[in-house]
Amino acid sequence: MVDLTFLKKFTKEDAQKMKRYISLYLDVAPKTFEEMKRNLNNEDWEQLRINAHSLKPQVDFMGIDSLKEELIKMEEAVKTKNFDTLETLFTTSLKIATNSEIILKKMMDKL
Amino acid sequence: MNKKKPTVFIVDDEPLLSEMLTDYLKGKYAGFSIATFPTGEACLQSMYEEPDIVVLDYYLNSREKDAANGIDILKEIKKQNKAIPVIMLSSQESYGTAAQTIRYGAVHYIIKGQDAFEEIFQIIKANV
Repeated sequence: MVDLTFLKKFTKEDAQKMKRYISLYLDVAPKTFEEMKRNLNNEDWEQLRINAHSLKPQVDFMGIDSLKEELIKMEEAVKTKNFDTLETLFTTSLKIATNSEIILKKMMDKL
Repeated sequence: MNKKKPTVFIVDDEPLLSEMLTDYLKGKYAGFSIATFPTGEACLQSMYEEPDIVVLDYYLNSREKDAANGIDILKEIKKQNKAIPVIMLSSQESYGTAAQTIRYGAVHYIIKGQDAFEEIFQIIKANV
C-alpha cells in the first residue's frame, strides 16, 4: 500500500529528510480529508475536486498508488457530474488514507 | 546558467512540495537563493526583490478558498514585470490548462509528480 522507493531515492536515503517529508504529509493529509468531508456534506463539488487534486502529488511522493487512483476517480466524478458516486469514492479513499497513515507512522519509527 | 546566485520564488500552498523542491534545487546548485510563499498574494508583496524566476502553482486555493489562483497571480506578475520567467505547476494533465498558462506568459507548464523536480531544475537552468 505504501512504497517509499521514490522518497528513498529522492533523499538518497537520508533518514532525517525522509522523516521530515513523511511528517509534512501526515500533517496535511488528515486535514485535507476533513476538508473534503465538509465539501461532501456541503455539496461543494468544485472545492472537493480541488482538494483531491491538491493531495494527489503528495500521495504520489509517498508511493500510495491505490489512494492516488481513488483521488483521480473523485476528480473525474466531479468533472463528469457523477456526484452520486462521490460518497463511496470518498469512503474508500479515507479508508486507504487512514491505513496508509498508520503504515507511514510505523515506517517513520523504523527510520 | 548565467547568474551565479539566482533568486527563485516558489509559490505553492502545499508545504511538502515547496520543501522538497527547495531541497532538490539546493542539492543541484548551492548558489540558488530560494524563497517560498504559501499564497500568490504573499509572493506579489515580495516582487520588489526582483526574483530571477518564479515557480507558480496553478491551484493556490486548496487551503484558502478565497486565495487568488495561479493564473491570476501569473497575470499580475507579468503586469508588473513582463521579463520574469514563470514556470507553472499543476497536477492537471490538460493541454487546455497548459495552453492557457502559456498564453498568459508562462515559460513552461510542468505536471506535478516524481519527475517534476528535475524538469523544474532544467527549465530554471535554461532561463536564469
